[in-house]
Amino acid sequence: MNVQIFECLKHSIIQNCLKIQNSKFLIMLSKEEVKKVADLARIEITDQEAEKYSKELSDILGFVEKLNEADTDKIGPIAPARLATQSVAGRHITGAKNATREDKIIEASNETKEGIIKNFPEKKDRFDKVKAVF
Amino acid sequence: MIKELHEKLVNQEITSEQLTSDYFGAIEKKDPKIEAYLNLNKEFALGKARAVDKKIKNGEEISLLAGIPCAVKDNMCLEGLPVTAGSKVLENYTAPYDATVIKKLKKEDAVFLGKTNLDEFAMGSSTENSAYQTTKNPRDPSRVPGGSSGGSAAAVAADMCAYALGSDTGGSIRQPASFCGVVGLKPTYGLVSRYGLIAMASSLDQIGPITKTVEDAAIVLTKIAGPDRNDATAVKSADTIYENCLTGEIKNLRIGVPKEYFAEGGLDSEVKNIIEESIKKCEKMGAEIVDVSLPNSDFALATYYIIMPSEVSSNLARFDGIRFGQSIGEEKSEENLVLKDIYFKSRAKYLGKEAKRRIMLGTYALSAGYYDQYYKKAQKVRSLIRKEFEETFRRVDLILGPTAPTLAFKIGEKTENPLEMYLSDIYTVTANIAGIPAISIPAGSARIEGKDLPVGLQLMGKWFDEETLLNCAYAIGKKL
Repeated sequence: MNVQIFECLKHSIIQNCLKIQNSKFLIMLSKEEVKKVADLARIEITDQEAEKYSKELSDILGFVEKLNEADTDKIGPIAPARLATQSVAGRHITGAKNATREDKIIEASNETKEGIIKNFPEKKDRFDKVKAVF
Repeated sequence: MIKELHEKLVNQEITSEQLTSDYFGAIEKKDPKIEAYLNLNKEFALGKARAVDKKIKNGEEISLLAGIPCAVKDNMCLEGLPVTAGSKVLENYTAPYDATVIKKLKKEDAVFLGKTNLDEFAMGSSTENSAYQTTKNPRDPSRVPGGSSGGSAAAVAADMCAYALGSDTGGSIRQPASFCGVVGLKPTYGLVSRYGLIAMASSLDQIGPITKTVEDAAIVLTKIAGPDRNDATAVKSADTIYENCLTGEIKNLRIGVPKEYFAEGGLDSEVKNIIEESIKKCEKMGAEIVDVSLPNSDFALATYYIIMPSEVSSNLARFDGIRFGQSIGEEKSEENLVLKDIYFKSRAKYLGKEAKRRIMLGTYALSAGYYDQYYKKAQKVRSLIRKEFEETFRRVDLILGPTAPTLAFKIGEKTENPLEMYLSDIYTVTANIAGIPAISIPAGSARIEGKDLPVGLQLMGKWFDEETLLNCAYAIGKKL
């Protein structure tokens, strides 16, 4: 058998096995995992909510498993403009690259400054007041 | 419509003050039922209108948009006015500066009537995720207007403004435009500055017009497009006058029709029939219809549901009760809370269900051990999708299909199943994933339960080739 054909076949068999594995592999985010994620996201959740999220997030993760069917062996990820190159690997979505501008400070108007301060939830004089860290 | 109003203003057949008052009258009459607006700026708008009238009386030349009343989706900042993004967390927030698009429209002497309803942080396809109200579809108030820019689309459809601004991350301009029977344009990523738009998913968000006609969309785009030092992705120079590109001639234009978009089972038959009729009309006008295949588009929605929540989880980290927005600290000042409690409790109380769901999903996808599996994989698939469009656009000038798989659905029909709601964006997300421009125009309507429900047709174009996109939409719009 021609080596190339053999490699091709091997690849497709492996891909198919992966597909079968993935479709059988039900992604389930446990309540404990959900709580850990909520902790990372800085959102307080109840036991009941954790249960609900566990189902909803598992459903969505099950749906996005579809991405494993896409063959991305020979392609790089889309890159932010500042890191983009013109090669196939790592292009910006519109082909833009290296957006630069002069590093110059432009003062905000007094109205804007006062507006920002007015939006502080708690303040002391013109300072944003926060709770103690510990 | 904008040009006609402009002529009337210049010829002094009407005044901007009268026009503005008339729109406020229409809002007073219709909006209690439609609930498109979250807040109105009566004094501010009428003051501007009078100033424009004065300019006209003095014989000064005025811009096409001067004195013409518009609505703005409530996730864009207008200095000194509240901006909620449809969320309780920003209920008490006042914008301290103007978004770049607002600044540009102010320069044109636009009149801002008020801010329109949206799904919280633009996350949704029906406005049912708004923390304040659910907007009704003007064509049938038992149905949703689509979303997230449902307030803007409903306001335009119900003649409660001349035009509106929306934002589109996965279809939020085009899908409501389709459901309400108006025109909605999502420009190329990077054509319009996002500065002052409350960010949802930064690599996908784009501001665009929702209008009565394609010509109006072109006029508004001309005024809001262009580079901005405050948005590094807005790099394209702004020298195109889009309304001047509308010849209505599409002879020999190559229009691709992807077979995947018409697959059995995914598309309502009413929508399918109307789109197929439109394709025949394009052929009659001399366009060349080309069968194309976009197999990787099948991955677009899954790609979207990794990239979008990942970026959401990062963008919404700022709503922590510290620098702005609602904070638990104020109401529980007597309790012995530490900094971390403010984060956890403020976010738990003031962020809505869908916002939290997406933050959680994104946090998971970006967390240690999963980044390569989810985010990096999705960005690679995004490259695949981009490449597929690049290759397809060597053969065709535009791609045509339906905007949404269904007609406007009933209020409450999809709120219990997030995944089903997400499928509403199946045809629109691809343009955001690929960064290309896309427009939805009314193509016809289907009579359901005694009401005429609009069907939107979507055209997608090459990066920064809004000229061809708008011209073809204009030609089709004239023929239908």
